[in-house]
Amino acid sequence: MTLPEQFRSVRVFLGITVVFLALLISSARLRKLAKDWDTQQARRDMDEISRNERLFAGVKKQLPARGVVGYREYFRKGSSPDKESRWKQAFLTQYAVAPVLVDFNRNYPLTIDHFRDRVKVSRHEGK
Amino acid sequence: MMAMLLLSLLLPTLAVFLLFSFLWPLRQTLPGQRVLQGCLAVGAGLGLSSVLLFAWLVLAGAPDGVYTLTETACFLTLSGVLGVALRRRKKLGNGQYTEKDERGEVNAPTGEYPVPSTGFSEPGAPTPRVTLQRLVMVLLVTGVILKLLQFLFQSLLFPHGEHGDAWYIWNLRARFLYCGGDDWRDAFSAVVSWSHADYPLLLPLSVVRGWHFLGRETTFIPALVALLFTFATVGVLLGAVAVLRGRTQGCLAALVLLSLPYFLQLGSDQYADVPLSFFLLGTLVLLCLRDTLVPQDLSLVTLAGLLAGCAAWTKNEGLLFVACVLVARLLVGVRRGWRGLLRETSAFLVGLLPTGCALLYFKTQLAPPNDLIAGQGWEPTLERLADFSRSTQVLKAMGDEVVKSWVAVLLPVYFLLLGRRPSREGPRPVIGSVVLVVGLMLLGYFLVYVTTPNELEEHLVSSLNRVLMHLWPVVIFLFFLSVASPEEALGPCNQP
Repeated sequence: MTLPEQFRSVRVFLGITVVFLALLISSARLRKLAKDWDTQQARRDMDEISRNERLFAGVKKQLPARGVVGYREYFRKGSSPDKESRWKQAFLTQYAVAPVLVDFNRNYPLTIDHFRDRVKVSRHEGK
Repeated sequence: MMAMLLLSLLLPTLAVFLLFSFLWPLRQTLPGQRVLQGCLAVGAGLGLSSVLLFAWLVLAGAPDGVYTLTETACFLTLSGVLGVALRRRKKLGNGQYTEKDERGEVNAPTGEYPVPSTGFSEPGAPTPRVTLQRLVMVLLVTGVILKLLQFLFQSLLFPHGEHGDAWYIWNLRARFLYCGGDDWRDAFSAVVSWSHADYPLLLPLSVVRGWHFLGRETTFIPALVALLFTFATVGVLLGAVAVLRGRTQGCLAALVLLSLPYFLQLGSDQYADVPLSFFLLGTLVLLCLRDTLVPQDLSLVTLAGLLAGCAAWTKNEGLLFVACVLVARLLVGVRRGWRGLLRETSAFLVGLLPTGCALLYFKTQLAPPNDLIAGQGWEPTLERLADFSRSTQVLKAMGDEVVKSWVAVLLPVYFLLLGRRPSREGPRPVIGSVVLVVGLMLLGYFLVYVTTPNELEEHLVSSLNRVLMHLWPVVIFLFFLSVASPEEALGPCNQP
């Protein structure tokens, strides 16, 4: 059965329109990203990893170029962050100080002390 | 330094492009062929150069200026040799070109492959069709610009990748390999085993290479590598469909891939899943082209082996893919006789060799055990397999994910509108083994989930959309081989 030419053209037009509409809908995020980029504040604060990199910039200078260090985390009294965010913070620490290895399970002469919004390196002689 | 970086990207791409051109078994240039070869060369170039860097790390330690010179010299020499060989062959006109005639017989070296009659600038093509082709082209260019902008903003706002895997696995490994100097093996220490230290190294080493050529560590390189793989995947799909079904169809396939919600997100997140999907698509496209156009040819099989090896060098799932390809080719090829099958398998393994050797060394000498395999045991695995509720849960999650990815909605709607490809129009793509590989991969993923020692729900939520993304470009490729092109759907043209 051959369909009339006009009907066939409409179907083709609709088919291409569906594909292009899908593309436009999937690009909706572009608007939000552009808006975020437009906001100076968002540019600095949006990316958690970059914030973490800034936090560790000073600490990195106090660490050796290579080797293994320990890790300790400190919380405010009464606060108990969930396991997932604690692990994430620990992993972010490793990412920030690589290639120095961060062992979360053992003590080392050098330890990264991670407080809520600051970090420091402490020395534990004789350990 | 920027010039060095550019050189580091261009030289391997050029060398592999010339290799593809040299081994390409067809005489005439089909529509989309250069796009296909060029985009495949981008990914395969990155893959091969990462193997070279890995060999240097193992044999000579941390790369220095000598490495830069050696690598540049290697790729320049290879490009030069291949360029001269191509020129000579062109002059002599005695290339190893083979063709398949209507009955599937191979004619060598004469004969031309019937180019799909949907090219853009066919002389005398009726105006509505030319308008349609131009419209689709404009839509594709618009789509690419939109997605490039999205990629750019995403990379500027989240330079380390918005979600976990990029920094947690790939860029962390790259930092260890680049900044670790002669202690680069620390990247695989038991202390960081939580970051999947057993994952292969194509992606981190590509990043390290970029940093090395640029002379410093910057978030620009992982984003650039991600950009190259994301848009090269679109290019491979476009080129492959254009070769087999014409340019309009190729452009539409590329548009559909660009419109998948997760595709660009995963790409700009610097995950390894998009590079893996690039290599999966590339391998299967080459095997399909070989089966359709030149079934006796082995050079495309070798090139497919090279890409499959790169897949295994990208992610562990790539190993499953290599196994699936070998099994599928065995099942499909056994009818044609053991001799042919043996020749084909050997050609495939030759292509697999460079990345295969690197992977073998990595897995046996450096990588810690894989968490999914280490967590298995006969009894618990059998128990998990026998647990029907787990299978149901995985199947349900897979179904939900297919719907969420739009593939289950978009493709059937498009199919209903455009209809099936007319059976008598042009050469019929041979897709048996490609379909089989997709089926085997899905079965493999299903079994991995059912037997996972991790918490099943969490495992599914954290990875299923990425895992299925490995296969979507291939599914779209198969779909656009089977659906009518707009020109075919419009019906026979009433040309004078």
